[in-house]
Amino acid sequence: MNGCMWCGTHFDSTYSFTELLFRPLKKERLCGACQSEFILLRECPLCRGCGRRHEDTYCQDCIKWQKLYPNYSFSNQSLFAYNVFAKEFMEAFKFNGDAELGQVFSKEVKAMLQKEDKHTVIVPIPISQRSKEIRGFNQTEIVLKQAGIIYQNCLEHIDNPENQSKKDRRNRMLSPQPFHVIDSEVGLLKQKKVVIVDDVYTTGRTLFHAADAVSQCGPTSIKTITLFR
Amino acid sequence: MDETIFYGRHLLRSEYTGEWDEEEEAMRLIVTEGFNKENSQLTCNRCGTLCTMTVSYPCVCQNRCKYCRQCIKLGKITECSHLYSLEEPNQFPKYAYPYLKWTGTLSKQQAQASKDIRESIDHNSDRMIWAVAGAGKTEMLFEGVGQALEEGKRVCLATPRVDVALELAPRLIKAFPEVSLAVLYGGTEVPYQYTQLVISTTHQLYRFKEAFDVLIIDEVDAFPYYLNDALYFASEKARKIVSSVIYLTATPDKSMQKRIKRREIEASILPARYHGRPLPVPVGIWVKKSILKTKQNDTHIIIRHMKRLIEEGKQFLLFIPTISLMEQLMPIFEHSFKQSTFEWVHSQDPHRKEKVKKMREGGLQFLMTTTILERGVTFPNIDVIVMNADHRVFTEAALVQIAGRVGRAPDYPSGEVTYYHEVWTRAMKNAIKQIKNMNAVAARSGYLV
Ligand SMILES: [Zn+2]
Ligand SMILES: [Zn+2]
Ligand SMILES: [Zn+2]
Ligand SMILES: [Zn+2]
Repeated sequence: MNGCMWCGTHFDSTYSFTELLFRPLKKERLCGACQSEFILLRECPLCRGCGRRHEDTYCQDCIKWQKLYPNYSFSNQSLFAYNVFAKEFMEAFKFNGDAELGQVFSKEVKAMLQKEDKHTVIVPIPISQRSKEIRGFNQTEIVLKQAGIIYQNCLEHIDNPENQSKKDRRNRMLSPQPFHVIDSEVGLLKQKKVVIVDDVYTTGRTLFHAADAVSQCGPTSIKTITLFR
Repeated sequence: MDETIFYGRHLLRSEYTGEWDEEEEAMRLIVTEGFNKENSQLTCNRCGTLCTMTVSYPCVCQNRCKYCRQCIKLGKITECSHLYSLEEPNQFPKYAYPYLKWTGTLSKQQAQASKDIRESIDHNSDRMIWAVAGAGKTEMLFEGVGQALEEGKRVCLATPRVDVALELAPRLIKAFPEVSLAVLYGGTEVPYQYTQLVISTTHQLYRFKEAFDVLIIDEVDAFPYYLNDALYFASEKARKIVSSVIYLTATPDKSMQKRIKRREIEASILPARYHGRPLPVPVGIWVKKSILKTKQNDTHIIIRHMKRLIEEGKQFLLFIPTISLMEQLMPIFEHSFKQSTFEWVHSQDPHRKEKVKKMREGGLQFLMTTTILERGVTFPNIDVIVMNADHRVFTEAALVQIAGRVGRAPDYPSGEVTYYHEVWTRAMKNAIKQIKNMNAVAARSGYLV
């Protein structure tokens, strides 16, 4: 289908003649209108901690995190703002299970992760066993794979019957550590730069848990990257 | 297991909300694969779309599967999916005759079309109804539908838009108060029930298989051409092998108009409105320069036209081809029409309904809109101005539909339609020709008063 992956509009009908002449040879995944709904965060002033749109150096949430994890100099980078369009998009991607939609992020994910040196270990956040049974795939792994990024599944999700997205914000902040590093992978993280990747940064709870688990293995640094903030 | 849920349906296991009984499944349900695999090509059995996916994805089956993107909103069909159905048994209760409780009168042309429809349903044949906007197409379906229901047939009325489905439901309930009726659309809260009469969005037809003895498809011209294949597949799958399909349209495309002329499909043409006054014929007016490029905005021909209508106290719709042009025009209009009340609506506008309501109640002097208001919505006494009528979004069908907004009420059967343009397009020419032709046919047939 030669159309926008999201709204289905045919490209032939949305391009004017000159646009067709200068259209990039690579096949577009989204039409111009849908593409413009994704707000690139690197073009905005951001919080130095969590990478959300923020005028000051650190946002209130990050000041709290600093108190809770004083030894972790955290810095999260996110690609796009988690706006209404993004929520709807991720709903289709994750809950309808439209894995192909992950291709939309390939270009930006690749650009962001290719900056890392080649010894950096890229670790996706694992999903719960329950989500895996319902959805069949880990959305973060799919996005990395589609972008051609090599990653290591070092983390394991210790099952918790409740689904994270159904909990309210407060409950989520109190949730116990759901991750641990798989025994055989501990050595892989030692003395390495580690980048942890997730799809959405909501409260930061998930990523702080993951970073906490990874830090036990003695990495030289930990960074986190998400598609949305 | 509630068997009735599967009568004439085509469902994924996940779409059945009740308890799933494996034994019962094995005994009774007709099971088909989610995909048809032939010569290493995958075709979705629910929506008929050829799968062009080049990679497989990790799947709930622990393997890797391809899936169908076309119909994924109805639940994901993967290579490992199965679809379940049961033969339509037409198991409906009987009521006292006649089922139809509607007592209104049909116009002369409606009466003729109603008779045609009854015959097609009787002979299990197909028919195209070409009815101008305002002809009163719902009422002329009543007799045929009533007769089919009395014979124990299952009847579905499918329409592309949810608004229309929701508007039709109370009218059909009033006409057939005893007959069980379901309204199906994406996002409905009401669980599905087996009913004799079904109102459905066209998209929901994918969930049926050989279910309907009579299938009425509204606004067949409303789809972009690339969706026609999917619509055709859905309707052919949802109808029984022996059945009747009635297609409704206000603006058949060129190839359909040709087929009607050559009598390749049986057709009924309703060229006149219910109130018997001719359709307003649009007037094309050439514009030298767009408003955006004019320095003295207030002297621009379109702005002057708008100001004149406001002075006369005549409400109007202003059609604008794109949202971005609308955005560029906003500051100009806010300046030029400081004293007036107006709003703008487009497909992404969450307040669309309230704004349309305000316009209908006379709370606005004019409403700017993209083509989303081209069909379905009616206002009693308005004029229509189309800006950049030569833009490619204004197809022949769109322009005919837009003109059809004017002169709908019997008390205000006339009004003006103006196409402002820089070049004459084939679409504009054909739209005007189509409208004039309908008026001529109506006059010849004695349908005009
Ligand atoms: Zn799009
Ligand atoms: Zn922050
Ligand atoms: Zn499909
Ligand atoms: Zn599978």
